[in-house]
Amino acid sequence: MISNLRQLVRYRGLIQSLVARELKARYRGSVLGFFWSFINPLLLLLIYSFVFTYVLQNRSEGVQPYAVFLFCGLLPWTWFAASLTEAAGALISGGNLIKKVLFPAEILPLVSVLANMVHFFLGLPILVAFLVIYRHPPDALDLVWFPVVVFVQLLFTAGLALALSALAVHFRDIRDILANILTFWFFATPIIYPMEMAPSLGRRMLNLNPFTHLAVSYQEILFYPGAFGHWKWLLALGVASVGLFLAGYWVFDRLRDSFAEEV
Amino acid sequence: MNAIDVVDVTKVYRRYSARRQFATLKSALLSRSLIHDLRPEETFAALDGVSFSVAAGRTYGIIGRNGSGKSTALKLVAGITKPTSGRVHVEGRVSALIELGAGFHPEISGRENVFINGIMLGLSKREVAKRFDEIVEFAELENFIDAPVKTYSSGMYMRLGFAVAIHVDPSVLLVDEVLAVGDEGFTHKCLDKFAEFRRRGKTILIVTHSLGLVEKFCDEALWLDAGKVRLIGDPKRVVDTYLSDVAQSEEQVLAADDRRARAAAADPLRAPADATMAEGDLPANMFRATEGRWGSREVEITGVELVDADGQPGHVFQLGSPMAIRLTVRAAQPVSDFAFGVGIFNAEGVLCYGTNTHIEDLVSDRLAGEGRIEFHMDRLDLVEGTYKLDVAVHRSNGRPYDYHRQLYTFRVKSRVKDSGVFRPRHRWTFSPTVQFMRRGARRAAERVLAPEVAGALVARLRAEGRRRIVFTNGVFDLLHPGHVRYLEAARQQGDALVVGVNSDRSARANKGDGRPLTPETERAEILAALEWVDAVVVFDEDTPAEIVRRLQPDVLVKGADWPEDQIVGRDTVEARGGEVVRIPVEPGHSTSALLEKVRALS
Repeated sequence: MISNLRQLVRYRGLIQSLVARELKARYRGSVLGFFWSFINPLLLLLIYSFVFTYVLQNRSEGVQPYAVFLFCGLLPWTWFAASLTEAAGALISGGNLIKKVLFPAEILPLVSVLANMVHFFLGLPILVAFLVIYRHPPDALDLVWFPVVVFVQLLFTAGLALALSALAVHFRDIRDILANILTFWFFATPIIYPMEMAPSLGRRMLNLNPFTHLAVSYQEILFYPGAFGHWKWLLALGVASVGLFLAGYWVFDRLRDSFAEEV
Repeated sequence: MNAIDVVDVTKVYRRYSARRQFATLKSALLSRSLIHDLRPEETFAALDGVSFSVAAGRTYGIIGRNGSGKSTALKLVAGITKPTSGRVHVEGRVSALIELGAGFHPEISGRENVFINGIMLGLSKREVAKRFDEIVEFAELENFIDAPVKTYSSGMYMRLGFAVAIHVDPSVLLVDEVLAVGDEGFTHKCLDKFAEFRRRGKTILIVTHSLGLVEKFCDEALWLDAGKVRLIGDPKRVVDTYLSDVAQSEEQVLAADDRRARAAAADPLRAPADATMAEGDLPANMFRATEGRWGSREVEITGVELVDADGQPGHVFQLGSPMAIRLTVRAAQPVSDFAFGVGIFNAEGVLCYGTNTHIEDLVSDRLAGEGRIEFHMDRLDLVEGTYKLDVAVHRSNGRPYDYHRQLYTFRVKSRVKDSGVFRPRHRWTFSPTVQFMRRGARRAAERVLAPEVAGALVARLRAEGRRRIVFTNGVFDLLHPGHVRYLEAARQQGDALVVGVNSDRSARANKGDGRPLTPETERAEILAALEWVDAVVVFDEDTPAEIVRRLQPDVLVKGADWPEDQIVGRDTVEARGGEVVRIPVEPGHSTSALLEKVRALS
């Protein structure tokens, strides 16, 4: 395991170039190019806020301006969901590489996660713009926690991505199942509604969902006034994510030798 | 030391699709080996107990039929797949030319792809940047390197892939049938690059169907057959054994075809359309008819065999060897009007030769009961290819008793790849003004250089990675073992040896009018024939000072009988940081002593 991680460090140049390639290639040929990284989340946000402020009138007092609240959870979710979807197909679509070139295959799912993280970062200016437009400045002290949340989410997502990508090679059904699980997961996470709106039983259930703590952390740091009170949960999730990452890596390593034959 | 060690390696693949393989997720993660619990009929051993090793610096070829496990072997050596059992060990950086341009992303430019591909193959970003121009130049893509790779032609794509892979500068290069990537010119460039790799002492493992390449390039060859090692050894011997085995199995295939055709012709219900034609009718166009059998059958052909010089039936014959067509016929009633004919068609259906006994003025008299007819060819002078045979027995007016149309197949094999239909026995003669090179002369032409181009030669040797260039000079009149040993010792002082030879004029100036005994071109040719001599330069000056200045060698070698301060060119060599080495001369060998002996004899 240690030597695997060391090898990853050695291949950081390749990871870097592949992430850059992923980003460049994604928008190659489109007129707006890189602007899509801004426009996509913006449009998504507009649709959600339209639906939830005008169509389904949203009465909670605590989540105004709603657009900003929504964005705090939606942006990290997009990173998470897109990473897993892409990672699940990463080894299969990179099959030609795995069969023909000798390099650590875990790079492929990790690149999916990292490329989507860059998209996440590119979406942040829009969030900042909204915070400025609505005059809703976050607490400066809370912002210190922001990198911590991002890092915990990175570990959590990477762990899942490794395991899923490896298993998807053998169980192709995973890709289809995943799409449905993600939809369910999205609504089971306090992103479009605040945690407080859930009844107490529901709240207990929500606490079992790891992404709840990521979403709530983002919301508390960027949206809710007052000190960041969710840090215990976040740190606990951080520890669990390290475990999850190692477990995901173990699964990946376990199946590694079969990739070249099965993809 | 071995660069590649493959010890008793077995590689088992599953036969069935991925869906069947794991019953549960749990078994996928927990079963120790992914294949142990499979039944034998669900697995397939691509390699079965294969062992071989490749010494560092050697070029090793693997040949074998499709599906014999060649590519699997290469992938195991590359580390892309793991052996099911056994051990693979490779020493040094490996670059595998398995599929060129694997991992190129079509949407981004050639430039960016070169970087990513290079990094993927194990270079650092800086190393790629350093070799970038060289890579692009080698791929001949200077004008297209910034275009997206999806706009490349397949040749351009492959060339770029090859260029990147070859510039990774591996110590072990694995090549899987990739020489068919470009036009002739590019193929030659690739071969030159391989040759350069060899000279620089890199190990190369080639998997190929190009047997000529194996014979020409490889130091050793391995023949894989159905996952097992059939033969390891000298490339020529391995290739020859392989070829004769291929011929044998072709023979079996043709024999099977033959049996099918005969069975079809014998069975009226299953016979081809022609066979149902009315008795005695001829097909509308003799030369376009497909196989079949027709005729009145008053005389029947009951057996057709192709036999070789020893009378053994066969279907594959060597060009120029004797062959006979043996017919067995049976006449139900005695007949007096009959003729036997044969026709040979090539694969395109062109009649190569046809004749019959009537045309050749044999007048039939009587045929009763069983008979045997043999048509002998002393030499089978047909170019390599597959041929079909017509045999017939008919009346002198052409009405057939029994006509077998292209029912029999045979193959002619040849090592000469000439073209056409017929290969007349021939030889070439030339007037004395037309000359072809002997091998020694060819070597001499490559290695004996004029002083003017000698500087360029040294530059080229250095570019090939031969850092220490050794120079020595002399008259080398009557070459004796002392010379040979001295030159070998000189070569060991560095990475390449250039020998300066005094011209006839210069030799006379130094040694007197009686010398040299052998003219300069011949002395140079003899020296060039030595394995450890990389180049020979004939110089006309009295001393080698000028030629040493031109060559700028790193080591200047002279015999130890020369006083150190009298070695010409010493200053030039030492000025560039090189050194002068004096090698002890072998006692008991000298040209002067030889000359004395010869004089005493006469």
